[in-house]
Amino acid sequence: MQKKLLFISHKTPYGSFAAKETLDAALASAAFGQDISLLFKGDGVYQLLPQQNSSLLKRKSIGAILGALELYEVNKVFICEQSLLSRGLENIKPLIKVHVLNNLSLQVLFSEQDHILSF
Amino acid sequence: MGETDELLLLANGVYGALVDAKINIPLEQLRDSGKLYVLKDDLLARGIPASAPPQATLISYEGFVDLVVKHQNTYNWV
Repeated sequence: MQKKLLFISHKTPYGSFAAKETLDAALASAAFGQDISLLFKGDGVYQLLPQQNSSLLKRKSIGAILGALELYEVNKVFICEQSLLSRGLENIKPLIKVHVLNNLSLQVLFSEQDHILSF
Repeated sequence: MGETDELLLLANGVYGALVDAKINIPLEQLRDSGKLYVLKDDLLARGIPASAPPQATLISYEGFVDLVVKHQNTYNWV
């Protein structure tokens, strides 16, 4: 049975493996036919910075995984406006297409879900 | 920080170098005094332009070692 799942990604792209694993979990859920939404919040917004070069850290690019979202038909991708503002990132061009949500819209997004998974 | 102390931003700490970030106001003073260093690879890996920290000195891993050697003590804020 299809459920509405919201994955919230709070972590920086390369500080740990949490960001990658959150995306992997969202992609896996999408592959199993679930209705996936993905939200970047808090330090998670740093994952969307363009011009990352993870090869300097000998790590797999977060951008490459973000690019896979579309292939898995994960199109409901959101970013928290407040998190961008508090980090001075409101003018960045995100790596992938994301919808910017204010706090009120976040509330609506949360209320629509069957399950919310926060990492 | 004392007169001769210096600060190096590395790993996730490099996000502090983003000019517009409202969390980094105390860094402005350090920048002006030339005591702020940023590990270049960590900065560029995360997609922060090298021009983001205007007064900071970008250093390599070799520069990191030089700083450690230069100072008697190092302290890590993790």
